[in-house]
Amino acid sequence: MEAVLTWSRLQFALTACFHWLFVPLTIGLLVMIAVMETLYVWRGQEHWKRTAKFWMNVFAINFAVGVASGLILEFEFGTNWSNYSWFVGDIFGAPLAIEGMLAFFMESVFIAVMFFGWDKVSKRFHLTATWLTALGATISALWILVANAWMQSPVGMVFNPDTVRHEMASFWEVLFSPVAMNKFLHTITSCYVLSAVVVIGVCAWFLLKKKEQDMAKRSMLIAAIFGLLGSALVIFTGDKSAQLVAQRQPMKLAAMEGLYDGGYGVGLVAVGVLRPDKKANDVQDPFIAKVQIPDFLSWLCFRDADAFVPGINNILQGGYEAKDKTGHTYITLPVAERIQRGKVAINALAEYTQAGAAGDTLAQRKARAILDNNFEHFGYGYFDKPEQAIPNVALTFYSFHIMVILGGFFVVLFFVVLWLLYKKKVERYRWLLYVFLWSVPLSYLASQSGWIAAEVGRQPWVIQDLMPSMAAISKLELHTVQLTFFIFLFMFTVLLAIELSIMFKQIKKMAK
Amino acid sequence: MFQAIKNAAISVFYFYADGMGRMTLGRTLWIVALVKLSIMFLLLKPLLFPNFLKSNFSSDEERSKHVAIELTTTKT
Repeated sequence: MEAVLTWSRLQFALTACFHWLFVPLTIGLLVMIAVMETLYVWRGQEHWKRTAKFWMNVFAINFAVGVASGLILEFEFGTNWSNYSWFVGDIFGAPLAIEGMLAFFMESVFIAVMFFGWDKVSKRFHLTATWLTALGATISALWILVANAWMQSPVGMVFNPDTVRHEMASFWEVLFSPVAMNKFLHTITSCYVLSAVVVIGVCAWFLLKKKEQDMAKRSMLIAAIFGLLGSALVIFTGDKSAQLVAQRQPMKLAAMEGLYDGGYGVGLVAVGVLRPDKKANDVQDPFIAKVQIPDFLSWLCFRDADAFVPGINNILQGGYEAKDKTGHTYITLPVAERIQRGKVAINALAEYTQAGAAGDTLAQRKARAILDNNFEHFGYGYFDKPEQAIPNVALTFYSFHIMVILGGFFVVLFFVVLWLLYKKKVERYRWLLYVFLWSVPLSYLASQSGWIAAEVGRQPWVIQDLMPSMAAISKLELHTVQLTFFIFLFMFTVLLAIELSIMFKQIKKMAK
Repeated sequence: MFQAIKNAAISVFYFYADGMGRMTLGRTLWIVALVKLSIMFLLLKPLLFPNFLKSNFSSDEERSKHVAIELTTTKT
């Protein structure tokens, strides 16, 4: 079963990473295209129309190859993660259904007007369609991010032991949970940054080839401003994200920072090399080398430079003060204690089901009370030892730091582009143009790293505290999962090669 | 009223038909998207990705029972 779990997780990670190669460019590029077209309609300058049309071709290639790749994730929910799919119930179904309907509506109506309507509808109607397509893509992303946020911080739901499913108690609480809103804004604005870097990189190529230089400079200007605004929002939402993770997923935060032994006034590791053989509760320093900003992690998470930040060992041992979702202070339990209470909750669910089958209402009521009292620890009942609550620290730490460092690099890049455009010197510094060009793969690395930090860091949970991945998996044959993994690997590689080949061909065609 | 709807439907049809007819890059992209969607929905989904609970159990009650056993016995 362990192998089925590992292969299913690998398969899900592969699909999600592939899907996420296309989504950010779709979301960000559409907004930039809409801005370019707005300039065309507002100023009546044909060159903005031509610029918008070129980027629409890039968008079309990305969209066509990436379309519906997210649906494969839904296939996997039903096949590989059936316990999870059933357990989450309506919470996951409603946002995904809305996403499906919105995406279909947007794709069939507004995109068609955007591509086919240039000379058939009025300028303003066309512009409205472009903005609505951009808005539709953004709203479409909202629902899947709401569902993901619920898994990281479940709110607005009630567990029904009769159906063994969660039922939605408040749609608005699910939609407007601080984690959902922040995740949505952080993710969308990170898409803006990625798209801005891609546009700048492609434009740098045009400048290196001395082709379409005016179009390239115009696009670079829009992209650099857009990227800077996006970066400012990414930093703002990233800051809020740190506070939310510190409060709701302290183990993830500890892994992101490689923090084993917490304390008061904890520093933020800016860069570091982790000791590979470090284990929880041993005496080794977790870092071989590190550069730290004193007290900054405490301040970042709790707006107090002297605040206590728990490390992995503190979380395992419990006994420190923390605040819950409503802001009330409580003393944390040791993970070993939570494992015991989780097992009590699981037994209570078993007794509740048996009593229900036997028609014993009194026993059922008793079991229900025990289940309700211990439900917040339910998922811990599947662990044999506290160390199972620790995610992969190295992967979480490095992916988080790669994302942050590259995010900082992009801010510098956007400033440099704006400065060079202002000084009218951008084509003179060829080495910088190469830096812009090679920043394109770095933007994808940053984006993927962000998701890896978020998703690996929350392990072992598929639903925070309630369901670990080991309980979520279906009863499947190992060879089936391995076969589909390699089919996907082949299919995704071919699709990526097709996309890149069509994209390069189209860009080269434009240069001719 | 009926005539207006009919005219609107015809306009929409010609809007799409004309747009599709003029496509150059779009044709290649449609082929890529359609081949991909066919593989996904005609091959992968029915052959390799059956919905585990829907294909093995006939009612929601049976599915609940199965997941309850999974979560309280098999996985613990």
